[in-house]
Amino acid sequence: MNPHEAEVGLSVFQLGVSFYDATGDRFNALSGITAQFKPGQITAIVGPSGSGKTTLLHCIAGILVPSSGEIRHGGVIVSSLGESARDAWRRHNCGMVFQDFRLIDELTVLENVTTPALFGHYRVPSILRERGSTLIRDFGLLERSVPTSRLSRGERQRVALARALLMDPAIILADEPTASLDRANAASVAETLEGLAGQGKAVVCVTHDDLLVSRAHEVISLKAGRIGPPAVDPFLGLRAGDRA
Amino acid sequence: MNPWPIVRAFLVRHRWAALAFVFLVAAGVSLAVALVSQERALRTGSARAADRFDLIVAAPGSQTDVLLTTVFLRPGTTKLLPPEVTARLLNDKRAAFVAPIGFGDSHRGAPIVGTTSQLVIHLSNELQEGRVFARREEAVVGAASPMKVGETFQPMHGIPRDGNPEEDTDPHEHGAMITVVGRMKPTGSPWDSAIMMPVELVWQLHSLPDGHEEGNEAVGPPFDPARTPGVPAAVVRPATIAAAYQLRNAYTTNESMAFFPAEALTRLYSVMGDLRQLMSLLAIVTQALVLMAIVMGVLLLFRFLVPQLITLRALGAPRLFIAAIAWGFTATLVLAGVGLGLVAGYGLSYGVSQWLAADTGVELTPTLALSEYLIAASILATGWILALLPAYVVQRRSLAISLAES
Ligand SMILES: Nc1ncnc2c1ncn2[C@@H]1O[C@H](COP(=O)(O)OP(=O)(O)OP(=O)(O)O)[C@@H](O)[C@H]1O
Ligand SMILES: [Mg+2]
Repeated sequence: MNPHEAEVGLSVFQLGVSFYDATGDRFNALSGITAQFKPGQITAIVGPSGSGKTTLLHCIAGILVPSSGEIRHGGVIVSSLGESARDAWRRHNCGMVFQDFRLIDELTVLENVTTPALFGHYRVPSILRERGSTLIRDFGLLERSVPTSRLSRGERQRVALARALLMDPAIILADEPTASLDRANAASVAETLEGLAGQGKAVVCVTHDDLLVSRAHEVISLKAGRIGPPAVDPFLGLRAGDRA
Repeated sequence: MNPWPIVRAFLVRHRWAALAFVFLVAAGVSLAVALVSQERALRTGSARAADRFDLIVAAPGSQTDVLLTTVFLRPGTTKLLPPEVTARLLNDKRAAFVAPIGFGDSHRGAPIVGTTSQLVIHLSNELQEGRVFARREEAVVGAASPMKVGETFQPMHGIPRDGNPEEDTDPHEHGAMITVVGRMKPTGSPWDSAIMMPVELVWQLHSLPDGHEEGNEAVGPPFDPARTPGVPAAVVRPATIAAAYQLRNAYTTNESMAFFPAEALTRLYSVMGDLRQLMSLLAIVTQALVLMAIVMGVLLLFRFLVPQLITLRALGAPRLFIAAIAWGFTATLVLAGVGLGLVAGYGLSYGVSQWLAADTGVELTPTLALSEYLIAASILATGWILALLPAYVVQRRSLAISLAES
């Protein structure tokens, strides 16, 4: 790997993740993953269910510690940081959209979106509150004072996206950000992500969505925890088997 | 970093569970507080009631019994002082006054006490209304008596149980017609609902020598030693402190006993010291129960809380922030519970006091004092320290594992 390149963006090198079950048997969820997630690009991670897409995303975010290999970001070896330091790194660099959204059901839409602002401030600064409102509107949501447990799946997905973008992070890690959306909303989300990449952010999406894959600059195809053959054939498009 | 908006949202959304938890804590705290507050109210209330009875002389026996019949006007049978001793006592020059007491009559459930106007004035510290009795057919009522000055009544022989004359073995009215001429100030004792009459009339109605020469209708001292009957007790107001001890010694004999009610009460409390220990044991048990409730409640409530805390960490929240939310949540509930418990404890103590006062006539004024606040503070402190435990555990767990599990 070109050391200069590693200094700039986000990259993973020879990443391996193993889980041990109750009987002590090892299960390799990821092995030998080497990839770069360049600023200004959308990277799509595709692959069948259980192939390790979410696991890879959580590794990049510093939520999971890989069993082998490393994760680098601009000179920082994220994978060798302690737990608190990884939390801080994630807080300052990553916007997370989880596959199951993980909204705080007790909070309203705006409160959810502005939650990340509470980590560093005594009170949500008005500028971030306004930014939250703008994001909510941009994603076609209403700023309703109801707990988000009342919202539809698609609405919740968009709240999760808005929350990920609030602090204007350099890296956006989104797990299936369009899975619960209709075509029109999915297209608008894809457009938003494209715009973010255009602003120089590294956008990493786990997705099954052709629409999103078609806008990706890079596609990583996982199969049983390994990087498979290139998923996109310039003549045949997305391989049917990888769409799961 | 400010965990409060999230803590508040949690409390609001899970208000019923939170409220149940608060009530549980409050129940325990209020019991412990009420117990301690009530114990003190009883002690000070009874001491205040006995305060103006300087020295009591009665036939040898139980001081507690005499205290109960004389100061607290509980029905009971006491032996009589021999007439010679009574006569000597009533004319003892070492006393500012000696007031014989005569019991046994009643009017509409209120006890009638035969005594002298000196004792009435002394107990009441001047009257609230009217004047003291100057003739045998006059009476002074206690501050809480329903009777008005100017009202007349016929005293009834015997003291009916529960104020119900039907239950008395031999109820019959004496012939005399009595007029109320004055009302005492509140004394905080059962004397407040009693009726005070010249002791001579009580003696007369019971066909005893009435303390004066035949045909002499005088009331109060001096009493004729030759015509003095035995009395159940006499209240002595010693002229000086030295006289108080002289009098006590002089009447502590085979034929009589003399004691200071305040001292007898203190002795009674020290006997009840075991009871106090039992009460403080009870208080400790309730506190332990409260703390257990806190732990259980927190464990249950944290089932709602933990997934959200994990989410916050997955978003990059500092561990201290997570711990602060977890702690703030429990701490707020404990604070609310202890605060409510203090108020409810006072309310409970007040209610019990009202009920006891209605039953005994002893005025009880419950207060919250240092010891109650200390109980509350210790529960609060322990709760707040216990709240650190789940907070510590929650922030310490590995995020990867928690996220996979929730
Ligand atoms: N904490 C864990 N402990 C044990 N096994 C795990 C754990 N997390 C993931 N796995 C396993 O690793 C494999 C990859 O899981 P992962 O969630 O990454 O799949 P995925 O590609 O995101 O699938 P999907 O498309 O269904 O979301 C699965 O077989 C899963 O059971
Ligand atoms: Mg997944």
